[in-house]
Amino acid sequence: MSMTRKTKKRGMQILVYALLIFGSVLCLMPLFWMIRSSLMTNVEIFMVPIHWIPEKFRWENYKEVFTTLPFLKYYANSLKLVFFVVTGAVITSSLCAYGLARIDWGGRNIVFSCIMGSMMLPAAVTIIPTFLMFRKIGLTNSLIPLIIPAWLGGGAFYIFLLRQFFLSIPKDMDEAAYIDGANHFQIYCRIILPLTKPALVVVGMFAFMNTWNDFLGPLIYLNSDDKYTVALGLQLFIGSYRAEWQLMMAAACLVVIPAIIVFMLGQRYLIEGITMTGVKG
Amino acid sequence: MKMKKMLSALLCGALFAGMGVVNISAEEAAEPCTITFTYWGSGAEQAAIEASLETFQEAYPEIKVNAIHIPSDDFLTKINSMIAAGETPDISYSASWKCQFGEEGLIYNFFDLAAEDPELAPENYLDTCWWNWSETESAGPIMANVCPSLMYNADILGEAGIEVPTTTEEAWSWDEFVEVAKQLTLDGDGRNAADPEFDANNIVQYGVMFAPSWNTYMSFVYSNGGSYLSEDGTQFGLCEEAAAEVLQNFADLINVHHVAPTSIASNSMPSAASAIASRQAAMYLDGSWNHLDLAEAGCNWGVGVLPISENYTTYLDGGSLIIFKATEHLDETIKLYKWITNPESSAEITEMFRTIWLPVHKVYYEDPEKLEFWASEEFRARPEGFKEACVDAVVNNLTVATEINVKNFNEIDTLVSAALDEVFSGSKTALDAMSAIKGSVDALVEGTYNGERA
Amino acid sequence: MRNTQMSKKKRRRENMWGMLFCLPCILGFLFFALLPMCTSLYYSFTDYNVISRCNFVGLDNYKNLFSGTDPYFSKALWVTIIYVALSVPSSLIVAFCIALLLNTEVKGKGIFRTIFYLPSIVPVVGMSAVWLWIFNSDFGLANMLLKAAGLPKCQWLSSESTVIPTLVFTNLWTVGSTMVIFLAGIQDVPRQLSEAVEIDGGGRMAKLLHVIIPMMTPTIFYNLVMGIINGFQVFTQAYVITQGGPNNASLFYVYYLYREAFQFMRMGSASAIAWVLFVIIMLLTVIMFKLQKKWVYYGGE
Repeated sequence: MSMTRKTKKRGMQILVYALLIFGSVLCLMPLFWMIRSSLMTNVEIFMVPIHWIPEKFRWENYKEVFTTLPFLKYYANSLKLVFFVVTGAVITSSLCAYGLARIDWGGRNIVFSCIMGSMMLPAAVTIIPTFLMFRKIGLTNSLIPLIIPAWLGGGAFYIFLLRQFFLSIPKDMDEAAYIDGANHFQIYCRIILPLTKPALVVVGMFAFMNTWNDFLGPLIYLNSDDKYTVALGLQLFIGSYRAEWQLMMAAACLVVIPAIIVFMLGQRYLIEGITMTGVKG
Repeated sequence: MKMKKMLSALLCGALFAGMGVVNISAEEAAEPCTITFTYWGSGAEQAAIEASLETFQEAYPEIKVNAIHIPSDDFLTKINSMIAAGETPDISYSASWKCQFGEEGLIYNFFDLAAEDPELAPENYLDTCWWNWSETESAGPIMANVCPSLMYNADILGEAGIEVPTTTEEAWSWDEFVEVAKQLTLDGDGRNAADPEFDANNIVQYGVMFAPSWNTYMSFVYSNGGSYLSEDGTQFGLCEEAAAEVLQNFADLINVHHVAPTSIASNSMPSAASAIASRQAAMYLDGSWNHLDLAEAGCNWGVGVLPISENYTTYLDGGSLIIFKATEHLDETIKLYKWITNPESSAEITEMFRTIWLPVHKVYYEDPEKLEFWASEEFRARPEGFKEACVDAVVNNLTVATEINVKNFNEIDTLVSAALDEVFSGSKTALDAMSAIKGSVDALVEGTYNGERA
Repeated sequence: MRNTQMSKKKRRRENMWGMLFCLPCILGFLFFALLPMCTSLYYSFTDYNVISRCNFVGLDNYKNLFSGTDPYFSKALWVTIIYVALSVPSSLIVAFCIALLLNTEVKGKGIFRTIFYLPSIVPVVGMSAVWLWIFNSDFGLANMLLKAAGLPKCQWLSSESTVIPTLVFTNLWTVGSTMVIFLAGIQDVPRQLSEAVEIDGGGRMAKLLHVIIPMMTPTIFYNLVMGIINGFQVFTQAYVITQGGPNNASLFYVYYLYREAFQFMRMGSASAIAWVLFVIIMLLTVIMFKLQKKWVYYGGE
């Protein structure tokens, strides 16, 4: 009896591993393709039959990325932008989510419907009017127009996500604290935030990714190329007369690496957060 | 408490950072005479322009050029938002949308500028290279010409013992061209497309690749007696027999003769240089802007005349530099205009005219010494036969490029390109596909800028 | 009497706190949603072209769309609906399945999770270029592999019938972010509940159907809503990979809108197009929120 159960379990486990490994290969293949292309000449990339491994590893491609464009400057700009956007988004979206999920006040439903409504608003509708607004107050060609929205709620997505998480925390915990004389800000800081760390990490990571990869926003607001972000720099490799794929892939690799590092760091935090969360639902 | 401190620290940080950014832009504005120049181009072009602007600023220390490189795909978006923001550049590269800018009164009429400056006299420039938005108003001549070009891998054609003609008298007919392409198309077992055993599903070398754009096919359409618009310029013309026949010929390269690849969307096909250098394609029909890349790819390549045996007609095309009326420094902007369009202004610009661009001033074609200056077959991007195939064959058989002459071209071409996908995929004949969109296109047709058929 | 006074005072205080907490997002809503939205609604009744012209044209822009004068509108809408109908369910199911797999006792869970998440952090611009080659029907990796396996070639991105499924597939590659949300949700499912099922003699399937899925409904609901909203706004793939082709078979709605606005400079009609999209998304979301009461379970309430 226990034997069959064991073999069944073993079989199940093999199946799970097989699926996971297959999926991993699918996930990694395009990335591998990108890295392999970044180390080739533009000609070898399109060679038939396919060259899986470059004949000669052309690390010069990376050097060329740094010499053709001021990539270090782009890195610095992107990091600055990401820092302010992520902190802004995490702080203000969690505040708002708390206000929507945990405080029973008059305007709550109206505000929530407005935010849900704005989430459905295609970004393309608001691009030009928003741009004109920033122009009027003289803030174009700086990172500020890209940062300010993050400090004003950070985006409806994050608020909605956090609100859903906050709603699933039982009310009795903060009610107890409330009776003990704590105010909402204290409850927010001491009870809700620690309980929702994983959700906050998720929001932070999303904000990071969206900002790191955003291309249309910086394109519209940033004119001079000393203010460009990496995503915009990446796009610069596609000139009008030819596409320098090998350099673009090298640049893409350079853009991906920080994202991977952040994810590695964030992931550990995420697991920790989840185990610490305790009772939910 | 800790959280509060952190919050306030962060807020202060954001505030200071914000102020820092504002200060920097205020300093920049203090410069006495700065002209803003927006342009696009590949890495090589960007490097050349930047280096050349350095030289320009040394020659004219009182002028500072704020050059903004914008990827071509987003160029118009960016220019529009700059204009909307009141940050209109002084001078800019421009594509076919410039005529609309002209009609809106945003840019200078080149004829007005030329009237006051003999150096810009219209008779100095090739006649067919004008971006005019009316008979008396012009956005200026093309700044850097390119022409449709037949490029090939000289090793492959040499091995096959085929010589590509470089003069219009010897030019292949379309049928001859197809035969050559068949010989040069090879399957995995080394059989060519003329072989009855040929396996069309396993092609390793294509006889020809072509960019599926107007720039490729319109030369053939004109030579065949067809045109983009109807005789009176009020209706769509590609649905007429002479034009549709040409489009069908191109589609047949793919679906009937199996000598060209099936996925020809411009962004999924390797560029001419990649395809020729890696022997994916023996021949390639696309613009002459590929010559620099071919030279740099380090393969043995050549150019020939287009396979048009009768009534050879072609065109020069390219963007022009437009000067915005919003400029506060017109004289300085014109200085920059002349600098960039003069093939001899600086080593970097000269190099551009020896690799990618063809000049627009007549003198560079008429004076043999001047011709040698940019078209000498000694230069790496000017292979043997270049002067015959890309200079003589072109300037002696010029018409105005479709893009330049047809009003509302951008929008019409969007419809046409989509319908051509059906033709090239073999799901519709050229005649059917073009006739199917005639109604939609007719609604957009507004005639031509020079009043003649195009 | 005292009681009502207390509650009145309390209510006022709660209102104050609520307002304070929500102040950032209220301001954000006013300046980055409401104001631009009104401006664009106004533009939708004009022939605004950013640069010079801005005349009031009444309902003309909307008439052009619905009367078929605009050759792209219905195609773009149809194509986008098909894309959403294919991509949203497929990505939710795949993401959920991966999350379930990762929730079992496997070694190297962290590594697998990283691998599955990795694609969604890759810059879209760079990745799109890679997809272009992989799915090129003549030189692409996908067809090379098919050929090696003795299978017939597929046209992938260059045929009208396969372009959308191919894009749906590339979209599946980035389910990592949805998967992470699911995984966080699954790991939040209280142990006691699963254990209770085990004590009752229920197997994996019972646990999945009676505990995990019901407990996950808020997360599923969230991802469904977001999936539909984002699906309708898909842009980059059409912009970088297919440019709407072949024959407009991947002319996604927002790409069409972008083209109208920035390529043809018709901000007025582009605003009208945007407003139609807004109304569609709005209606769908309202319907989903109405239906959620039937199947979404919130523990806190």
